[in-house]
Amino acid sequence: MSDHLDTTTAEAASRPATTAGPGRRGPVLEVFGTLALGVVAFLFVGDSPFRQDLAVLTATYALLALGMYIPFIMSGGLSLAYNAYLGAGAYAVAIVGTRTEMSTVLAIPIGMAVSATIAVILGLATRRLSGFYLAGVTLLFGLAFETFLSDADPITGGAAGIPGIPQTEVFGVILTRPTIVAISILSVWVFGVLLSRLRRSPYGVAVRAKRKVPEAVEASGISVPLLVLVALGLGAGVASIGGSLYAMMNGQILPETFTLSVVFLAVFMPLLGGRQSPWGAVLGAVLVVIFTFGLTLFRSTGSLVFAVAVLLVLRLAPNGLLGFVTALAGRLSRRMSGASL
Amino acid sequence: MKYSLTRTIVIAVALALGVAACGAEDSATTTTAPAESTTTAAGATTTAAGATTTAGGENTATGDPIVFGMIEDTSGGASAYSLVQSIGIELAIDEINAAGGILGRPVELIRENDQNESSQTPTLTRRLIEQGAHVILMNSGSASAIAAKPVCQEGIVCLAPGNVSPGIVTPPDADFSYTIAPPSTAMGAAYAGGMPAAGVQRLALISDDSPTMEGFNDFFVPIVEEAGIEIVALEIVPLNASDASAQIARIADTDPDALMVSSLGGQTEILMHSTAALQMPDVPRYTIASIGNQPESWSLASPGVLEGTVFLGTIDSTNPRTQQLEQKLMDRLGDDFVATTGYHAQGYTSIQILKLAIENAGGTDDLVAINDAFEAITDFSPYYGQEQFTLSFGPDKHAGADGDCGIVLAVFGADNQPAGPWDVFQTSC
Amino acid sequence: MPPPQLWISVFELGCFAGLVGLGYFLILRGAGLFMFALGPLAMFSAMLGSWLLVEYELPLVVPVLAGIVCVVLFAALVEVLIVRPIQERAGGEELPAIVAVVAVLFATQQLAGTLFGRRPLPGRPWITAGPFRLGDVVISGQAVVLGVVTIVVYGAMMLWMSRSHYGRMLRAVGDNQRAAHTLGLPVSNIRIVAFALAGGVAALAGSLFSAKAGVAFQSGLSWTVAGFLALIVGGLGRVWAPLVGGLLVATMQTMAVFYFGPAMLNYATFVMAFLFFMFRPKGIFAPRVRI
Repeated sequence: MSDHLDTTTAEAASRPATTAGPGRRGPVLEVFGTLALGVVAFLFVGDSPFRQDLAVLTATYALLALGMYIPFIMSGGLSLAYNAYLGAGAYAVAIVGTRTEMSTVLAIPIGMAVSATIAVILGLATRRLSGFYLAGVTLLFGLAFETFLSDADPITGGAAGIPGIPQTEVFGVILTRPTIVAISILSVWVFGVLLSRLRRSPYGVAVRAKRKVPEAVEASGISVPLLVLVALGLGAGVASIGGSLYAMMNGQILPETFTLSVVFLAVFMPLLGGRQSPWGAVLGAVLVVIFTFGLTLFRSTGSLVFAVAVLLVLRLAPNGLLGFVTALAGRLSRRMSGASL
Repeated sequence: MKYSLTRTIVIAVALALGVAACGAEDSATTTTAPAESTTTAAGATTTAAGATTTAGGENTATGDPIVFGMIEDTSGGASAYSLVQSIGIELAIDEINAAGGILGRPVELIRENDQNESSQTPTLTRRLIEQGAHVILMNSGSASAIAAKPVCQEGIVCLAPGNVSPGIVTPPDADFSYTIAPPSTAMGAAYAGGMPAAGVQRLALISDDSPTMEGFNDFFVPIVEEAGIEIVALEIVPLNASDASAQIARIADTDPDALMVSSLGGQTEILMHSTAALQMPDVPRYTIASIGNQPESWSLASPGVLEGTVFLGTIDSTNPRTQQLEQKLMDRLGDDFVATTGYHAQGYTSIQILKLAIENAGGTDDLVAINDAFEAITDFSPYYGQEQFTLSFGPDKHAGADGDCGIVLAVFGADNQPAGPWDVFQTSC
Repeated sequence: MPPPQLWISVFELGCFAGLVGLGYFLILRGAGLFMFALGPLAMFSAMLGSWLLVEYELPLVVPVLAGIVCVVLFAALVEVLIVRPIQERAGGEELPAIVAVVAVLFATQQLAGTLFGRRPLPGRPWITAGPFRLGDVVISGQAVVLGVVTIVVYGAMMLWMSRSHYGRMLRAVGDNQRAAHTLGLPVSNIRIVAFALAGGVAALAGSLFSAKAGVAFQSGLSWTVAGFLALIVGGLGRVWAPLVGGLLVATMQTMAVFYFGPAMLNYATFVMAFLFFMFRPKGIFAPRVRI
């Protein structure tokens, strides 16, 4: 896999970048620019326990949005069971932490495996049906999962959840809160970069092409259903990581964190931030957290603002904020270089 | 053309959001019940428009404010009692400020709404602390109070005026958390005494699926069983379910002597009562402390549905302190006054206790000293419960109730309103 | 053998799911999509009505009508302002329409929560007659009304689709929208009619059903699932199939709760949908013409 990406890096670098920006320098600027932003974010959070909580929550949402991004944006399937994937990652950490002797770090791959399996099974059931069926069956699974968390006491701790998750230990070193903040920001950056590269790789092109011309993709020997399933599984796995980090930071989890309202945020974040790039999903996550926690105006209206914003974005700015900004930048640079419109 | 429209709309929306952000960027919120409460803005020492001070009083307190941070629920599942407790809380604070504050300093209330979502409570509590809170009032669900424990453990007193869950005050992380409401054990004792007195031997239980009720049932069931009562059924109705017939049908099959309704109250509890009234009209019903204290829920039931239901109240109208509080509430609320409930009284009492603790600690420089002072309070007379009921604390006693006489067993009348004390049994201290 | 009383619950829930399923059917025929937002629309009508009742103490007929009219308009607006432009711009892709519908679902929920509060509101029975006792069984007046309304609505819809101008055109559009357009059928109007009718049916269902246990801003989610499944199970081929599907879904759900407890409701609903999707996605009464 890494060989594949290495060769395509050279190819991608020599092709004009699909996002606006200087052609050859695009990918490098993206990688280091976002890393710099991540460092700034970490410094901004600093010592404040409140901001530390928010930072990890933002990272959790960002990973959720990135997980939603893969199948949603790239292969055209809308899966609504993301509360289950998030929950699987979080509960894996909680169960491993409170009931076994293993380090909670090991729970991360467990959560990913569980989530990916669920996603693939749901995808298999509806692979020959229209996208609405996938949305329907995943919505139902999401509901069933909500119920499961509150109901299956012996496994999930029931409605009271699982408190007292011990701090994560890796090779004898306990991860402190600031460390988890750093790891969370880093994870978001890593997946953002990977997905951005993936998007431009031949696989990514195939996946995006599948949306518009599935016959062409099939004709070139790529199995479309397999593509969809892989995208679904990958998306679930990434979201699960977000859930795991959340559980590690908070030390306790409750079923009410993993309801379908989280799914709505997962749909909304990539839309708002922008579909052209995985960084749009991250931007969407940042905005959601700022709006819900930073602005008390929105606390009582809940996510109504987001709901209305989704509809506005869908209608008026389908490429989201990033798309809007890059379009604006494009127009400005054309104006400045003297071209007439 | 298309881009201009897009751009204009998006910029307009962004501007609006920006203005709203600047305008609302403080934790004092607008989400309080209208006409009944006051808001105190962070950073200001005077209160907002409305009935702010008691008749003839002036705000004579000066100096650095003492900040009471409050986690509340104005819109979610716990809002039925949170809003009522807030009335008592605000009344007490306004009274204290009119009389010169605590140690000459004005009291300021800052608030965060966790919507009864306990996963948000720790973060919101941290936010209150960051904004200068010296003590925290946990005025939301029990699950919220429990979720916040690790944050309180870092060194700030957290008092839950209305929650009864023992999980709030049992280890781990319980050194700074307190409750003052009559606990579930007192409720258990009330029914462990009362039900046998009424001839109940076979009891069915119907509950909602909230974490608070799950915790309560875990404590309640063994106590009642120990009193010789057999639990013949335990059914769960999810919050906001549309139907409870299946659960009631299963209960009816077991032929119980009585049905116990264990719920947060509100519409879900009314559904349980209505279905039971329809399908098992001759089976007497008992309920816990919620619905008896929720005047706005009483009208949700069809006439007569609640008649004869016994509930665990905390208001005894012969208690002189309760009478005092009732007078103050009537003065403050005027036409909006419906009844004095345990929630009003618990909210009011919580502020008085915090005031005492801060005074005994000599100020707010050392938050841990406030905790020590709180733990040293004994024989405090609250504004609810039977007359001889007191609250005491200690290093091992963070649930303030002394004995079981905080509970006053009462009965609903045919008009779905509390009709008075139950004549079959009352607890003793 | 489950107690006879449960069959009354099955009947009520089945009629309700059948009505919402009918709404799904109409929009599927008219616009080729599954309108997941129907449950929240039903909820919105019920909450608006209940809120008006509580705030202003109007005679029952006014809040109920207000709720229905409001949701009918709302549904038509959703079609004109959101669904149609997005479908047109998307060309052959489905995803934007799916996202739009899901967004409307959540937006409606949140709008109701903001306007009417996040605590449940009570419903109010339409008639004061009843409850009627039939041996062991208690039938509330509202259950009777719900049954009567369901039969009347279904009857009217069947007549409309087979006799009326627009009804027949609706059937044509559903089969092949492009062909219908080519033939000169007023596709946009038909779509609006489909959405408006679906909204009306859902609103009616919501108002009626909420009398049972009240309504909260999140009630719409399980309502939307019930209606969707009623259509899927019953089949996409006949107007009356969603009613059959609704009764089957209601039976499954009620019995699952009775035998296994309330959690089983969501588990069993998921399994039922999963099985149908895998083995019989077009439902029991599958269409003979491809959709």
